[in-house]
Amino acid sequence: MKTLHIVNKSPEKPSIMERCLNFSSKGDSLLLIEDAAYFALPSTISKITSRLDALQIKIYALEEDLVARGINKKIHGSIQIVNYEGFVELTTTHNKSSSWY
Amino acid sequence: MNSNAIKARKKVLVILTQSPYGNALSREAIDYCLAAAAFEQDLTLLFTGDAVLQLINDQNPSTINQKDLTKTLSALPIYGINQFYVDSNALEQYGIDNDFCVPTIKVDVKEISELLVNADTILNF
Repeated sequence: MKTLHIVNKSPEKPSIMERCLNFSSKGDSLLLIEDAAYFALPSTISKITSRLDALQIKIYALEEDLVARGINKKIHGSIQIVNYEGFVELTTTHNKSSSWY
Repeated sequence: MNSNAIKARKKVLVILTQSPYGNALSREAIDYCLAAAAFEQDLTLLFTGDAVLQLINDQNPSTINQKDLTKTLSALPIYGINQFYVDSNALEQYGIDNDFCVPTIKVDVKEISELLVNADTILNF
């Protein structure tokens, strides 16, 4: 039973990501959309990579939101980029999704 | 899709994170719960973050021209909704731990992640 966790708030609101990580289980996935796309920057993602690694959580970021914010070429290498179609596919390859906002 | 997807009666976990009167989400969550209960869905409510503030008794929001959320929350058991879980860390953060408008079960981080795992569907308000 894998859950796709969707976060849309910037690192400025750390309690949202904190809650998401606290309640995640091993093998879940994390999708960064809207202002959470800024988490994909190496300096911000590095603050949570140890916890993500411990839970073996795969990280995705929405291409449209990265491009809009001018950071699509600046993101950390561990993060996989998906477009809207990929977003839809992620919702079908997971049992359920949970939006944290 | 697995067979759970076509099961008529789903285990729905409703996660509440918002304070009672800061926005409309707390009221919308209750509206959803009442509608889902009418369709005999298996509902579990989890209060975390600011949502633990929804449970405080003796609210009197007539002073800000709003309806008392606790009146509606405490009516949910009449509709067969009686699984109310509350995040113990959030309670600790606000220093409140009793005198709530519904009977609650306190859960820690690990128990909450199990609630997520055991749900068919998760809705966040």
